[in-house]
Amino acid sequence: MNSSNRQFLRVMASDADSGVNGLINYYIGTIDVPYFSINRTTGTIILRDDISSLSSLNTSRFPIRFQVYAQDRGVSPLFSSNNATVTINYSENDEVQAATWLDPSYEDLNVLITEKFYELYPHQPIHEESGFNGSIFYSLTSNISSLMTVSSPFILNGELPFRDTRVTRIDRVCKSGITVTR
Amino acid sequence: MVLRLQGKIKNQNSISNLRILYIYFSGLHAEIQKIYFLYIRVLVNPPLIGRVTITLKDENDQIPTFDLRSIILSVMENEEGNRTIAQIQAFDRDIDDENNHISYSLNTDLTDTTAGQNFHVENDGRIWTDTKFSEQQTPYRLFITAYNDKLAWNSTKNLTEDFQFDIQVISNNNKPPGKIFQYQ
Repeated sequence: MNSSNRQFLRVMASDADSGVNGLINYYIGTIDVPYFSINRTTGTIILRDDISSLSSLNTSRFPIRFQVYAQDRGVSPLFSSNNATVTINYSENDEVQAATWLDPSYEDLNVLITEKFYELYPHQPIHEESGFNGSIFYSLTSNISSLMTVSSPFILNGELPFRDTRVTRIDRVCKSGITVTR
Repeated sequence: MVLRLQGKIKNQNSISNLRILYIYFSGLHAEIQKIYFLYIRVLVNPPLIGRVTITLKDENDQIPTFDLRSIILSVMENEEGNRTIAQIQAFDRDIDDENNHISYSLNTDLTDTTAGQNFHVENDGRIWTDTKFSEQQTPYRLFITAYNDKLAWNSTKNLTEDFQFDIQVISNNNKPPGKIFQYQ
């Protein structure tokens, strides 16, 4: 961690049930974890409200390590069989990021598309009529190019109906997007 | 990835449920998965990561489907009054209610006039009659169309499937056996 934001990581679990039985709550399963808590519904690791800034943290307490477990919201809730272990390290120097999104909205993008997107817009990246236009720009600090990839934590790439769009580059700004495969 | 569906056909004597498994392996179908959670990752060190949530809007692309395409049923002779003789039910894999709602009607192009006059089809797939039949009647054949009220996503037509229905008249057991002869 070396950024000034207050969100760090998102933990996710999958549940094959639908409806309430498939909704998941996330909990930290380690006692006396300093500074951090978890958003119960999204699984995002966040800085606790009573921590004013990262500079107030005691660096000797790092790395901070804790367990996260998931529990569905069914009537007799079921626990995750595998817990996630989260380790947070403290980095003194504020390193320059090798790449940055040109638009901060790419950090958390929500896109609504029709299931017939491929038939309607063959070989075009996913976009909305009004809203996200399909291009994802990032700038690099180096002259060496870097790919942008699309992946899912739950689905193998071969079964995922989305791919990254071929990268184009002008100077140090690259452009990619998300393409529907079928 | 597996999608489970259920079809049903029902008549006055029996109800049978037919369970069918449909298996898709890939492709963009709201029927398989409506929300995708993805990571976009620029491959630098440390990686630059973004989160993308893609929600699919269901379109009316699935056709109403019958598990069985035809059935033979019987009606008793000499019965009177309004009576339901069967209810047929198709299913539609679309996930939005407006896309999977199915209505039923008599296909008057294929059904002959006599059959059409004696049997009536309700919106919900119920077939009823108020005719008093006699035993010598030839069988009737009805054709019933299952259709989505909403038009298909890419056309001005309805998505439909037809069902063929044969109805035969059977006699009541109202005649005793004949006289018994005794041989010596």
